[in-house]
Amino acid sequence: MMMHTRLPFSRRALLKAGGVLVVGFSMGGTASPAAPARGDAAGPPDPSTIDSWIAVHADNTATIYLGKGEFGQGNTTGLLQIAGEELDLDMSQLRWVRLDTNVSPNQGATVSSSSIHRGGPQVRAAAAEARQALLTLASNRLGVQPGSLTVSKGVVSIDGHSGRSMTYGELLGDQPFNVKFTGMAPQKPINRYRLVGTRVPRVDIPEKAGGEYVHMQHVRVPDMLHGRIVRPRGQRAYGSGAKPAGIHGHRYRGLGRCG
Amino acid sequence: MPDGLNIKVNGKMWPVTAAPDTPLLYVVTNELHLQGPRFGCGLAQCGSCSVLADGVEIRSCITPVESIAGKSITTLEGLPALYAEQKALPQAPAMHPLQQAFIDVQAIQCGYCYNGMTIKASELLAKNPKPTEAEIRAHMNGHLCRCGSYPRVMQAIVLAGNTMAGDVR
Repeated sequence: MMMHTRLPFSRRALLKAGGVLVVGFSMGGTASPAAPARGDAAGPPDPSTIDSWIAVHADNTATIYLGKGEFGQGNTTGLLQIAGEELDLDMSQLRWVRLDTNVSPNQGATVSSSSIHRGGPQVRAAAAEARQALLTLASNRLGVQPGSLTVSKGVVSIDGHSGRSMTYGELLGDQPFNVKFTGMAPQKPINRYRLVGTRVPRVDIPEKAGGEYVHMQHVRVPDMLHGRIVRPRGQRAYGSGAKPAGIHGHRYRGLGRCG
Repeated sequence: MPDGLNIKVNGKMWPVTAAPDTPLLYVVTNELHLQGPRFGCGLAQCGSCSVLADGVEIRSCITPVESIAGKSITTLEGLPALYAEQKALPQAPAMHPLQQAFIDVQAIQCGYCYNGMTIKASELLAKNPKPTEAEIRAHMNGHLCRCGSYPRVMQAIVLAGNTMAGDVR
């Protein structure tokens, strides 16, 4: 079952709490994910640290923080497949967080079919680096070279020793990676892909079907105010319509041509 | 301020504080905090605000709330319970068969039209669980999907009809 981590929507509350990401999460009543610690900083987290992209939980799942908007085009599902491929996790072990500029790494605008083609390589590189860090931890804990380790569904095993294994969750559960995102970690060769290229159910559909999905039009924040443009009679949004009869005050001089 | 205007939504009575000519959509959104019906065009042209009034699909964006007093309104949130009532099931399923079918055939893209599609199709299947493609097209005419998901919406309705035919009444 794909889980979608819900975040509270009050930006002001997030800012007031400062570093909040850690405190502000609610995840269907279950444990909170490790989140990048950013002190009082507002705005997107530092993209140069792996913790801004991926959190590994004690239950051997991972949250992938994506900086691309999901509008039903399926990019979240595709990007999770890319992350799951590098991490050797199944779709059922991946969580996602709805885009939030205070939480998600800034991956640029979600436009021109670029989520996979530009955002995908970033997610792939981050997941590969996270995997490398996890294998380094496993190698220390199991006392073997990282090269002799294999991973399946987040279970790290020593090649040829079925009995000796550790899960990602046991290695890092809800602790930060504290690893720089260099982009230099080795990536899985494409001929070993087993998840990317397959058709998996879209992760955003169930809550849309259930009616729990919050479309932008239903977003509420505390003390929310509404603004509405009141147009003079006869004025349309663009082109000809009502013209200003006169403009008072030097600050607005020159704007008359806009009508 | 209408003294004592109450409306029945999803089996429950709700007092209304808004003015009687307020669109029903604004009441269910702002007072009842339901998010099935949603504002699309505001002109009854797209169907995203649809709800059932005594089982008949209406456009809540142009329906004054006072006009549905005495009727039973069902929104997306109330579809499973309505289905259980229609089929005399001992309890409401987690989802109406249409909702499950939309998942099964992955019919939803952005999902904004989904409310109206589901409400309108539930109206059809309640009367005719085995509609022909032509009947579905005729019935669903007037529900717009800007993503262009119509072929899968058709599939979902057919699939849900088959599921419903298996549920006895």
